[in-house]
Order: sequence, then structure tokens, then C-alpha cells
Amino acid sequence: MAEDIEITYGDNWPGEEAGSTRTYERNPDGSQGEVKTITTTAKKKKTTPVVDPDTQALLDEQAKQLAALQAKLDAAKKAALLAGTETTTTTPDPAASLAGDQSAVPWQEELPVAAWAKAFGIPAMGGTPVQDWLSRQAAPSYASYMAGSYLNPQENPTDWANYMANSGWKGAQQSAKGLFSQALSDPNGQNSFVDVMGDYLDSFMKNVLGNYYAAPIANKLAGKVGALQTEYQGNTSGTGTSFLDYLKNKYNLGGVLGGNTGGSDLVMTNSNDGAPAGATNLI
Amino acid sequence: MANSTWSSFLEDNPDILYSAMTPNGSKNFSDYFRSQYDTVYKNYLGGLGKSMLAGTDPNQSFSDYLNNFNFKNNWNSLAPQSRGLRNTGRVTWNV
Repeated sequence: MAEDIEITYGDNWPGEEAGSTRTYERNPDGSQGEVKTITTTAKKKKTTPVVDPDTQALLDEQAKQLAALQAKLDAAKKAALLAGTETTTTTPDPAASLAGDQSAVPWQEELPVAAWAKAFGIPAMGGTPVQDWLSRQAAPSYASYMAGSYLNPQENPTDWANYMANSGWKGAQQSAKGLFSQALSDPNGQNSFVDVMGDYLDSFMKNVLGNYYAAPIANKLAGKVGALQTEYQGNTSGTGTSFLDYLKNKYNLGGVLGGNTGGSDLVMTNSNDGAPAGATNLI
Repeated sequence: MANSTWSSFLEDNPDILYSAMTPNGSKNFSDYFRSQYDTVYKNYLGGLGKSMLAGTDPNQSFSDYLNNFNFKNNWNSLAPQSRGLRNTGRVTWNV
């Protein structure tokens, strides 16, 4: 069988792209027959993609989200370092945990309890009622410590052990009100604050509520933060209301910012104008 | 008055607070009020609920409630038999 004819074109061949190659059949008489293949080797011209405004806005939004996530990761790393738990090969990476890595143990759960028990000499088992109660203050106290470290990094150079020694859990409870107010005052940072607090948001709110309500009420309300988060997502989609603002209104914490914002489900009005007859000597 | 740390502990452990704030008295007095803890605490919680219904924040502590709780009047309002007093059936005239 006769071999094909292969022609590679250079510049200035009308109708042919420089560098392209055509393969032709060779006729029995040796002349050039029909084209079999055409191969173009010329590089494509570089073009500048045109992005429509909607796509550009989406890209900008994604860039913002990435920046916010980076800020959260930095804060989480800082909090972990402040707590004296640098990440090692055997310790789950707190940043990975925050970023949603399900294989990482939530870093917050590892930090406070052991140090707290050690500081107060609380035995692992068989503690007194006072020690049992004190153990339950570890999470709320650590929550305030976390919030303070995140919101005021420049003012909280201390570590967890020193914080316990200097503030104690009561100081942590009292400071929660101001920290909550501070978190509320930064609309752009509220979502990051909620994310950084993670599971400790419930404990933090226990401290906040303890400044406003009787103990049995504060304790019951604090345990509802998780459920309220679900409710918030269902009720406020697209309204622009932050979760912290939602909590403030839900718990009637308008006093935090110096005014009563109302809108609380907790303070129920009675169409019968007040408490029933025989109300006790409350307040 | 307990310092703020122990006040919080007592608020979280109302049974201990109640025992601590019950006045000393006779054995009948102590036994009676020891048995009344559930009733008193539920009345306190009910009062918090009434605060909500009235449109005010439920912020009264249990210790404040007990400070205003008149143990003596409560005790004296009981029937003599409930206070462990027996009716001798004898009428005494002072002339």
C-alpha cells in the first residue's frame, strides 16, 4: 500500500493556518489524492473573559466569605493557643474542626474541664455537692473567656489558668453582659462571633441571662439556644436579622444596649390586665 | 449574707437555700417547714410565671422570695392541731 502524503504549511499559504498539517491519500499513479486528516498546531489567541455583573457580584461575595472564614480560623487558632493547646500531630486541628472537617474532634470540648477541675481541686468522681456544682460552671466560664479573647484580643493576653485565677466564674458571668453588648455592636462580626463560640454559645448565654433573670429561668432559657438557632433559620431567612439580634429580642435583652426593644415571647401580656388576684409579694 | 459566689451556688441549689433560710424553732416547726419545701419552691416558680404574665421580667431570686416569706405568720395561721397543739377540752376562766 502506498504511503500517504503529509504537507505542513508555513506562513503565507492562502486558506491554510500556519503550522497546520494535512495528510493526503496517494493515488496509484503517485499523485496527491483526497485529504485524510487536518491537524492544526497553531496556539489559540489569548482572550480576556467577560464576566457579567451578577457573576462578578457572586465572586466578590465568595471572596468576602473566604476572608471571613480566614478570620475565624485565625481567631480559633489564637483561642486555642491562648488556652495552651497548640495543635500537634496527635491533637485534632481546631481550625480544621471549625472549617467543617468532621474527622476533627470539636476543639472546644477538650479545653476547659480538666484545667478547671485541676484549678479547683475537683475530683473526677465522688465530689461534694459544691464541687459538683462548681464543675458545671466550667463551661459558662470558659465561654466568657472565649468571647473575651475573640472580641478583645489585644486586652486578653492571659491564658485560661490566669483567667480563672483572676476573674473566677462569677467574674465571667458578670462580664458576659458587656461582651454580649460588644458582640451586638458589630453587625458585620456577629455571624463570626456565633461561629467561633460554637457549642459554647449556649453556655455563654447562660451567663448573659444570669444577669437578667432568676436562676431557674436563666438555666431553662440557656438550654434552648440550639432550638432557637433552628427557629431563627426558619423565621428570619432573607430578613437580614442576625442570630444575636434574634436572641436579644427573644430574651428581651434590650437593656443590654440601654433600651428595651420589646418583641419578646417571654414577656407575655395578659388580656386580663396583669396577674391573677392573690398574686404573691413578688418584686 | 453570702458572698456573690455562694449566693449563686445557693440559687442553683434551692433546697439547700431553703434549709439554710428556715428559722430555728420547735421540732414541730422544723418538721413542718421541712415538709413544705416543694410547695414553697413551686409557689416561687409560680410567682415568676405571674411576673411574666404581668409583663415584667422574672428576676426575683429565691433568696429574695424567702426573705419576704413570713415563716412565723405562716406557722401561726395553721390550726393548732397542725402545730402539734392538743385541745385539752378544758375551759379556763380567768376572773
